[in-house]
Amino acid sequence: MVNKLKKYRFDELYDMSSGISSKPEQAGHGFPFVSFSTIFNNVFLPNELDELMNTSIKERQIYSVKKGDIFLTRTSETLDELGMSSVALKDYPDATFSGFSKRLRPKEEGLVDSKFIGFYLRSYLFRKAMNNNAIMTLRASFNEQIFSYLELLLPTFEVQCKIGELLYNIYEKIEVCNSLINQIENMSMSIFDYWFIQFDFPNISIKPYKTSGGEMFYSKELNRKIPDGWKTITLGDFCEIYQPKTISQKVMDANASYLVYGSNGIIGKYSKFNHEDSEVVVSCRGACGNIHRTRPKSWITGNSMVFKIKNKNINNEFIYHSLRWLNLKNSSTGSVQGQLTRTNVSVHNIVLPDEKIIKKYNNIVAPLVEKKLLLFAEIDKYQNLLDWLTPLLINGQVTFKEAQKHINQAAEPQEDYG
Amino acid sequence: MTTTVQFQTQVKNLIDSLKGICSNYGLGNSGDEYIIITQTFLYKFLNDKFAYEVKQLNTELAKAEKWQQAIEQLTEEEYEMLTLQLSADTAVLQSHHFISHLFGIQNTSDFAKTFDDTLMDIAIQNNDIFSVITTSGSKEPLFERISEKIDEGDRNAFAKAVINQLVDFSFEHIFNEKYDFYATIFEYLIKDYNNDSGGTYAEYYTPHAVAKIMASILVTEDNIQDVTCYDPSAGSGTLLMNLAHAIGEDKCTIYSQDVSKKSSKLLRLNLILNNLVHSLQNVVRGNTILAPFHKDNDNELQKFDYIVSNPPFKLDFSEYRDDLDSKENNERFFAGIPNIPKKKKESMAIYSLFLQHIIHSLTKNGKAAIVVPTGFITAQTGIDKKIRKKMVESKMLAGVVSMPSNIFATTGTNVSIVFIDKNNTEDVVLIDASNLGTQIKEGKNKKTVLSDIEEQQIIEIFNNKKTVDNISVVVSNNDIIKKNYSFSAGQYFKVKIEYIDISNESFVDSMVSYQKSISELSVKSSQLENEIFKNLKKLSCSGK
Repeated sequence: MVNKLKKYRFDELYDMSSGISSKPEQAGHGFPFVSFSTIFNNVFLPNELDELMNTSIKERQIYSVKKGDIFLTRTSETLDELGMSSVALKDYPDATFSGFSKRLRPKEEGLVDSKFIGFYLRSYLFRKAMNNNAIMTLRASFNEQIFSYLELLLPTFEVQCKIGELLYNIYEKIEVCNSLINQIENMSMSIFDYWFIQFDFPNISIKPYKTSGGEMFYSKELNRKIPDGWKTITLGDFCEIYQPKTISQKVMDANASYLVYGSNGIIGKYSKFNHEDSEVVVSCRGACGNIHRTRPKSWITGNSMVFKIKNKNINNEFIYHSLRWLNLKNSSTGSVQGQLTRTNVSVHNIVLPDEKIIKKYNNIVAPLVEKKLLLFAEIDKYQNLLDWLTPLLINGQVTFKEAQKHINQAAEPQEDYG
Repeated sequence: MTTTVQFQTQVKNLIDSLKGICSNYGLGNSGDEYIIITQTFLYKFLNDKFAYEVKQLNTELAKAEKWQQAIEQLTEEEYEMLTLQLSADTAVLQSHHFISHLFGIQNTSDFAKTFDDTLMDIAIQNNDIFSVITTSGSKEPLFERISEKIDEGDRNAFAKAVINQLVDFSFEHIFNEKYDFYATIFEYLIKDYNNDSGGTYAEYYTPHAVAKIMASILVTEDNIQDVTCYDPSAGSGTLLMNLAHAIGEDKCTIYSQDVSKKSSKLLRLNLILNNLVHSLQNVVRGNTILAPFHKDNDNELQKFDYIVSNPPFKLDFSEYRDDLDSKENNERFFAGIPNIPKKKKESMAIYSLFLQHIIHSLTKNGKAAIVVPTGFITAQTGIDKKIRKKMVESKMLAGVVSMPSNIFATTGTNVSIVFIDKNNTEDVVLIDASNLGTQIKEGKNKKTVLSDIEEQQIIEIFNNKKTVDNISVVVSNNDIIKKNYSFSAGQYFKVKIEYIDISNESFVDSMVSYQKSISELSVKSSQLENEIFKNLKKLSCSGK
């Protein structure tokens, strides 16, 4: 038996109001601002609002942003992008919101849980209701009328809170994983720059090499001094450089298992992969020179150029960061669309440290890279869980046991793992 | 004293009122308008130039209150003596050709016919010097009948309106002006006509910056005497005028060919304005690629000391492509002729034929500057690469300047200028100017403009063979061979690593802070994990 849901009209629960119509000169300075794109891209408003708007005291009162407020995008080019929601989970003092959005403020407390409604409004169930009701003239738009038609099917407040908490924990877990990845990336970058750009890798007595007066000699190829005993090597000699096979957009499938890397990052999924390991790739058509690390078991297309270090004993994090300093954008050719060719990139020189240092470096970065890839995998799992669980919880098909007990006493007792 | 600026305003006003007349008679922006404007302007110019010249020769005439009447007083011999002394680039006029004469009879019943007849008569009498030849050998006269372009009933009124504008003020003062004056006037005169609305042959106006850079790099010596300058796709002649001016108008002879009738007319006017009348006979209308006109005494294609060109980049020449593939063209098109594609015939790379034609048409010490699409400088296959190979291997490349995008308002294609100098056997200069310039909006189009300082910077880097970080490199022909014949400066730039040194203390600090935030995040991560797992265990499914 399905958990009981109660039907509400949107306008029974919320008051709708329009956003600020600002002048261009107000933008870019002043007080925090909730923009169209912030709403569009976030299920919940981010902790810090990056954008600014120079507003008057009166405007800040009228267009305020408070805990529990829902913001909906008001217009869009297409129906399925209309009425995208973002929920405020705290008060944002002095903030105002965009005129291209609507604010829904709860009429009374204790009816709707903010976390729950955030997921609810982004769920398939609600998106469908929105699309059915929206009006497509020149642009899709969301107005008072639609607002009054729309209905919400909500469980009791208590159940909402429980569902909201669970889903939000998963959501936050993903955010935390992303922050971890970010930290790990920055750390890896700092180490590389300190060791191989500044040449302050630890010397025999674990002191920074260059700063402690380590011997240096001038390298003509690099036009700078490098540590004694190190070499320079061309990318072509250091790496196997190639463009893999491109697949057509048509054969990609959102439900397939493996990621596809296009010119600038992930572009879809495919049923096969052409690279077992995580590779370092550079976009080589269109916007050239962007560096990515692919996930293991991915399909890399010909719009990306793979840089595989020939010496298997060197972690590819080394080439990732070496490329970062080469700025390959400058080597692009092509009159209309930019293009990087193997011939053009192969000739660039990079510094090659001696083996001992490489070994030390590997010992440090290999676990970092490993950890990063694990975090990506973890994010995937949690994202899948979130995607799978959200609709089931929202339509009442899955519920919390004690809540269900009240409704369905006849339910067979289940084994408790706890 | 009337100043240059005032002359300029007066001349521009005249041009504007002529345009006004055209639009009053329904010809505004029509294909005929430019003919009427340029011809009446030319008539005015020739008339006043004649007056100016005769007054230099004969002080009596200069003093006369009305020089036209004074000329009529002259005996036939006196008049002939006078005209014989005129410089060869002045059109010889009879007294009934004068603007003042036509002005006097403007109320006669067939004035429009008289007006046209007068123009035709001037053309015939000066045909030897002022006509343009076509490749078939016929001569296109200086003037054509202009009032016939107007509805019959309106012709007299139209001709009257025109003559009343022309009589107003005298050009005589402007003949003391210099090159820049005429360049400005010419540009003003043709600004509405020199665009691609004319169909297949897009006569894009070559921007001043490009023309100036080309001329200033080609002409570095002071003492050039008696040289030939050539443009196989001359358009209205901006490039040639800049080049001739840099060399000295009296020290060079100009040769040109262009397929477009409009271009030939504009070019002729440009030459007349710029004291290059002696070169008029070398202006040829016709297809350079199919039927190059200029030949030497042995009936071989003529070679030139200086060549400038901004050829069309892409054009459908499928119709005569196979005619080009002949034995006598073997040498001229050494790198080959583009094949006819199955689709998009309009995008056949005709610039590669112009480029080969130019290389073929240079004397053994010749110099050239050619505008090409930037794709040419790096293409790894086909004709483009063969041409580059030839330039490098026969050591004729002087350098390349890659221009910013949108330097031509009418096209988004990026362009580069290739410089050839057969005396330059080493040290090629490659300049990447693509990051210079300021973007402005011109109508709907984005356009990039180079400042005078930036122009000068490019010219100076090139002529002094300077290496400037991220802008230019000086390389040898061997370096270019090593880079697979690439002419792109960016590929030779040294990667310069710029960074800020950090101290060991701050490095250690940042490592510590990473550790701290990572462990904090990890703690939070596992707390969340516990929380999530706890809640998941409480879930149950009610089925459908």
